[in-house]
This record gives sequence, structure tokens and C-alpha cells, in this order.
Amino acid sequence: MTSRVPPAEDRSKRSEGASAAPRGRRRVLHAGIPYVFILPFMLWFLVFLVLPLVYALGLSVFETRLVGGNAFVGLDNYTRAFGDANFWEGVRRMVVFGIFQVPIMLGMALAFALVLDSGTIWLRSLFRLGFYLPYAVPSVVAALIWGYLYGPSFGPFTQLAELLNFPTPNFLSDRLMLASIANIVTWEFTGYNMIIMYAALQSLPAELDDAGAVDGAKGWQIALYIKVPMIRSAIFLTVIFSIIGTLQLFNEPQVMYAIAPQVIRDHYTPNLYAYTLAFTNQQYNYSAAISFVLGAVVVVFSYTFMLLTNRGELRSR
Amino acid sequence: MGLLYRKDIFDKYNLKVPQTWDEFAKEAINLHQSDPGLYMTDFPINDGGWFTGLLWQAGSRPFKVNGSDLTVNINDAAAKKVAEYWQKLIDAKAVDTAPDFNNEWYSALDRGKYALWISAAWGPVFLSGIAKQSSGKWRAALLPQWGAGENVSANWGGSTSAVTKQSEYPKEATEFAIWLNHNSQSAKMLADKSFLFPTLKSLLESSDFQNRTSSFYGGQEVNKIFIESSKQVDLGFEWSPFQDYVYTQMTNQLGSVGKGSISLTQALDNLQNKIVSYAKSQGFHVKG
Amino acid sequence: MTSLARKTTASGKLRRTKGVNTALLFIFLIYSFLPLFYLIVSSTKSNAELFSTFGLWFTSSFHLFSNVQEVFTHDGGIYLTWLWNTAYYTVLSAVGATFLATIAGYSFAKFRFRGRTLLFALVLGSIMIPQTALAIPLYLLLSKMALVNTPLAFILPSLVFPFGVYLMRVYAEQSIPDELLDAARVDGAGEFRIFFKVALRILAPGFVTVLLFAFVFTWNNYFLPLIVLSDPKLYTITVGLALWNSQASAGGGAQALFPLIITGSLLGIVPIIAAFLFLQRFWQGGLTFGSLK
Repeated sequence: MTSRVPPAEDRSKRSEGASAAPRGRRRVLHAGIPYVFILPFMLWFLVFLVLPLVYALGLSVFETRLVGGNAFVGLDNYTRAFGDANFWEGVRRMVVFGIFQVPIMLGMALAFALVLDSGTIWLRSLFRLGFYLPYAVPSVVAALIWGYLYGPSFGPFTQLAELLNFPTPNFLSDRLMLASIANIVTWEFTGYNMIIMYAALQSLPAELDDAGAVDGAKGWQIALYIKVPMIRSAIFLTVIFSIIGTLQLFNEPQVMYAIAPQVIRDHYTPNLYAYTLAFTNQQYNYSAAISFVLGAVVVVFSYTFMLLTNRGELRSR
Repeated sequence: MGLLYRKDIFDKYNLKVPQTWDEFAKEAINLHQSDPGLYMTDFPINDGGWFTGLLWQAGSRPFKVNGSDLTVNINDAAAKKVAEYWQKLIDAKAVDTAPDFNNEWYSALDRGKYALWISAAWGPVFLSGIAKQSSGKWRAALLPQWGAGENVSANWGGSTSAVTKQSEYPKEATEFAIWLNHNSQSAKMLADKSFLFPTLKSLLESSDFQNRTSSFYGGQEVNKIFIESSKQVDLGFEWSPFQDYVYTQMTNQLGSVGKGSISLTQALDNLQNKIVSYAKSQGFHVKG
Repeated sequence: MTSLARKTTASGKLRRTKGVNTALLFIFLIYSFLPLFYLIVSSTKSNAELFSTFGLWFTSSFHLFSNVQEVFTHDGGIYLTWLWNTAYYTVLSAVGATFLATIAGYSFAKFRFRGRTLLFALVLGSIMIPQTALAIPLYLLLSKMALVNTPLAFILPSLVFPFGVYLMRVYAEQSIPDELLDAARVDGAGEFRIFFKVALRILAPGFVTVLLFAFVFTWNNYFLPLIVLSDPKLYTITVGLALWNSQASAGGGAQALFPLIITGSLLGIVPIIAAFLFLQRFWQGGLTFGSLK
């Protein structure tokens, strides 16, 4: 069958072989190797991510005023953040957004990845490229495009609806804005998530299909009951990053601001709020505090999800 | 500031170029009643600069700065007058409340959804770039006045050459900034090639600039209108030390006005409260 | 990916399944492509036509070539500079970032070492803080290093790709069996050799995926170059287009640059497509298990 688990005798022979080698030097070498491998990344990570974050943390316990300069204010900014209605309104909104948009997007991504992987489709390369394209479009450009498509007077959907005598929904209204943004995000990232899962499927052994067939399993059964569980780490990753991405949503609301500022205002999402605070209101310190509180919210949601799905694999093994 | 209006629409619906805001209001209401697909103009709920210009023209004095002393009066009597005026037009649906400077808005101007655009000196060239299909149908005129026979104008937008505190060579940078706008050759290039409204009086008064015509405006000498307007700008107006913040808050408030949840007057009061508390949090001594 | 399973299925049924699947996915393809179609159609229009004609179909005049020429020559050909900048910043950053992420992800996946859980949690946790908080501190840091407004200001921070580390860890865990590595160790191979000769080959699809993502992410990165670069000659395409966009829609000296922005955007996507087409051949995986048998 699969060659993943070798017979027991081989394993014991192998450990004997390892311990027969000269111990001292090899053990030191062995102990150091993992660190050598992660060192380049960790070094860069510490300098360009952790260091600025620490600085931002420092910023968040001060207050800088246009008149009067810097002052240490301890946890004042955080207390204010916890009581800030604008911030929590944004968080609530993102939770609602995530509950609907993430499962739909990832469900489609998984389905497409399985179909592409199974070979039950023509023009596979065309589809791979086609689904990848939306991710390749920078958000500045997406602004122009979706601003046009959603246009309440001159957008194509509106014009088509007028032709057919349908009432057009106003995509940019208070009621529909969240769904409109969800549509853009789904458009942008379904292909992206699909590719992550597809690559994971591609690196599964080809023998799986044969093995399943020998046991009499049909194509979709192999897909659902064998392959999906085998790529669950990849799926899990896409969920975590979707949670993070949803709570940190920024690009798309900012894009919508130009065409529907009365709906988006300055705090539609928590991250947009942090940005406005820093770059428009020049309240850098409070913005930093908001960012960290948002980070804490993300941590809570992500780790809750991890606990709920009992991701033992990532903790040990 | 000044008006850029569609002569063809004005002719079709027998409109006169409004000399007062009262005339403007009457014509606006009539126009929309005659054709519900048409608006006299758009009230852009995202454009703090535009709205501030109108407050300016009405005599409002929202800010007075003296070092760290700040007087905030964004809801003074003149401002309230402007607010009540536009609220009436919004309620009567005589004006649109769409955000400006986006695809929808350019299309609207080009395709004649709005009969005029309350614009500024940089407007004529800009408009000619985005509304190509309606070329030849536009004309320029002075702003309507609050009192018959008055001659008051205001500013919207414009450019600044600024030297920041972080500059390594502040003296030299300042000298350059001054030279850039004062040297006659430089100023002429800025006016001719970048279509910036001239900073030099000699340029403003040159016949070359005054007599310039364009087919987009049916051969009208558009610059003359804006030269006239620039002489009428009330120079007593002051800005806040944090205008970005003010504009963002304005968008928030005006947005609610556009949705009908609050009135424009209420928006001004809200703005006043927000700006005062922000200014205090930034360390200013606030009055008003 | 031929296999027994498919050969035993009745070919008529297979063709029907293929047909249905293709049709369903085709709908999604149209959905994915529609906004881009708008971009393509708009690139063939002149400024006058942009706001006055139906956006999703062509007009009788075809301005694509003059628009493209305009993009390449406007403002002394600065777009070409931007294109070149974006290209070499991105290639250097993406390859570097993917490589760093791969060796780190491999290590997290395949070695047991003290602090592994903590360090990985740190990596993951740091992504949970929005990048908005990083903007100013990063600028100050680069300023202290005297790197602001240089290509390195963009490239160095872009080498940090924590998402890539996590992704590579998942791929490594999933596709590289411990037994394979142990077998190689028994044969006397050192860890580096194992990594380059054994692990990397298996990880090829994952490596390509991370590379592709790093490439797109860096190519389209807008916030970072906006903050750290101030000389337009050093800009990337995203910042350059945003510059043109603000020149086009600002009051005061505004110019009608919209065909430039639209055509410039379209041209900016072409290299990403090229990268995809070039790299996708490395997605054929599942070739590895023969070595164990």
C-alpha cells in the first residue's frame, strides 16, 4: 500500500545506525542545525517586524499633541480603545462578514482545487491561470474597476437592469455595502486559496488514486474521504489566514471610500480606523493602541479556532 | 471659485445664469421638477474643501489661530445660513448628493446629469479633460451672491509650496519655493504648461492669459471670469492647524446628511463639538 | 496524473463529469475575468470615451496602441523606470523571501528543537497585528539605518514573509516523510545536503506556490514603497499609478491621465501573468515516492 510507515524492524535498525555514529560532535551539530536553518529568517524577522512592533508598543503608551509634545500616559490609550464605540462597531461588522464570507470562499476554493486536481476537467491550465488573475490585480486598480462596476447610475449592472426593467440594488448603500465588499474579497481571494490547496493536493502521492481504485472507491470518494483529510493542514492554514485577513480588512473598504464615503466614513473596519487615526488625525499613539487591541482580538479568535479544532498536529509531532 | 454651466441645458430649460443664491434655488427646484433625471448640480458630501469654500463666501469664520489659542466657530450664523439653504435644496431633491471625483461623477458631468458644476479656477482645464463628449457646451460664470449686487468670492483648493521642519537646507528650500512662484518665466511655465492659475499679477493681467479661449467653452474667455473672481475673494478667512481632520469629520457628517439621518445644521453643530474636543486633546486652548 | 482509477471508469460517464465540471468552473472563470475585461476594454478607449460609453464593450475606435505608447513616453518614460524598479525589487525580494521562508518552514516542520513552539507562535502572532502599526516605526528604523529612499528600503523588509514560513511548514510536514529523511541520514548525508537534494525536490510545488505569492505580494505592495520611497525615480508601479491617479483627480493643475492609469495598470499585470505561466510547470508533484520503494 502506501509507503509512509515502514515495517517495525527497519525502524529499530535505523536508530541503531544513528547511535553507532560518533556521538559528541554529531549531537552538537544536530542540536545546532535547526537553529541555523531558521536563523536567516528569524534575524530579518526580528529586525524588520519585531523591532518596529516593539517601538509601536512604546508609542502606544505615550501621547503626542500638536501643542505640547510627548507625554507618558500609561494605559490610557488602551482604556480609551476598549471603550471606543467606533472600534467595536468595526469588529462586530467584521465578525458578521467573516461568518458568511469565509466559509463560502474557502468552500469554493476547496471544491475547485479538488476538481482541478482530479483531472475531471478540460482546459485545466486555463482555469488555474484564470482563478489566479484576480489576486494579481493591485488594489489601486481594483478601485477603478469595481467603482465602475458598482456605479449606481452608469455601472453596467445598473444599465443592464434598466434595459430589462429590473430594479437595481444599490450596491453602495448602507444595506448592501458589506455584501458588495464581500463580493470583491471573494473575487480576489478564492483563486488564491484554491492555489494553496491545489499545491497541497499536487504534492500528495499519485499512488493514492490507484490505491483507492483498488479498494473500489470512486473518484469523488477518494477526494472527499482521503485527500481532504490529508491536506487538512493546508486548509487549516487558509482558515487562519482568512480569519486574520477578515479582521484586518483594509484595502477594499479604503477603495470603496472614494465612491461611497458616507457609508464607509472613517471607521468602517477597525484597521481603517487605525489608519485614519494615524494618517489623518495624526493621533499616532492612539492608533498604535488600537492596532494592538485589534491584534489581541485576532489572537483570541485565531486561538479559539485552533482549540476548537484541536490542532494537535501543529503543537507536537 | 466660479460656475461652470451647460449652456445647452440652460437654453433648453430657459434658465438664466443665477446672480443670487435665491435665483439659483428657484431654478434648481424648477429644473428637477421639469426633468427628474436632471439636477442643477451635485452637493458632494465627501468634499470638505468645496463646502468650506461656500461657507467662506457666505462670510463664515470657522477658525482663528493665535499660537496655541484657537477659536472654533464652524457653526456660526453665516455657516448656518448656508446650511439651511442647501438643506432646502437637498430636501426638494433639487441637487444630487453624490461623492465627487470618481468615475460615476465624471460620467454624470459628461452626460449632462448636472446642469452646472460649482468649481474653481483650476476647474476649466480639469473639466475639459474628463468631459470630452460635451465639449463646446460649457460656459463659465461668477458665483451667485447672497445679496443682490454683492461681489464676494472664495477659494477652493489650490496649491502650496511648503518647506518642512525636516528640511536639511530650509533657507535654500524657501528661497527656491519663492523663486518658483515669483520668477516671471517660472510662473509663466506653471500657468501655460501646468495650467495652474497664475500667482503673478503681471501674468493675470497679461492679455495673453486674459484673452485665452477654448472650443470646450465655446470660445468664451474663461480666464476673465476667474480673474474677476480672484479679485473678489474675501481675505479674512483662516484655516485650522489640522484641516485633514476637519475634512474627514466633515465627510462623516455630510455623509449622514446625504442619507437623511441628520440635517446640515445639525451636522455643523456636531462638527463644532468634535473639532473642539479634538483641538483640546491636541493641547490647544480652545474658545468658541 | 494518469492512474488506474480513471482508466476503470466508463469513458462516457467521465466525459459527462468533465463536461459538467468544466461548465461550472467556467461560470466562475467568467466571474473572475469580468473586471479584467473591463480593464482591457477601457485600455482601448481614449479619454473622451472613457466616461461616456458603455464600459464593457469596445467602441469603434481602437486606441490601445496609442495608449500604450503614451504610457511608455509620458513624463520622460518614467513608467519604464517604474517597471524596471518593480521588476528587480520584486525578483530579489521574492526569491530571497521564499528561500528564507523555505528553510525556516522546513526547520519548523522537520526538526524538534527547544523553543520551536514559542518561536513559531511568535511568527504567527506577529502577523496578527495589523501592518498599519508598523508603518511609522519601520520608517524611523530605516531612517536610522540611512536607508530611506533607497531600493534597499523596499527590498530588506520585503524579505520577511511569515506567511511563507507557515505555508512551507505545512507543505513540508505534509509531503516530506520523516522516513525519507532518516533513510538519507543513515546513508551518511549531512543536513544541508539532505535539504537541497531531497527535501527541496519534494517541496517544489510548495516552493513555487510561495514564490508566486511572494512575487505577487511584493509586486503589488503599495503601502511599503509609499512610506519608504520619496523619489519618483525609485517608485514601483503601484505607487507610480497612484501618483498619476492623484494627479488626475486632484483639483489644481489636474490633468486627464485616466487612459494612462488604466493602460498602465493593465501593463503592470502582464509580468505577473508571465511569472505564473513560467512557474506553473513546477506544480507537477507526487513524483517522489518511488525513491522509498
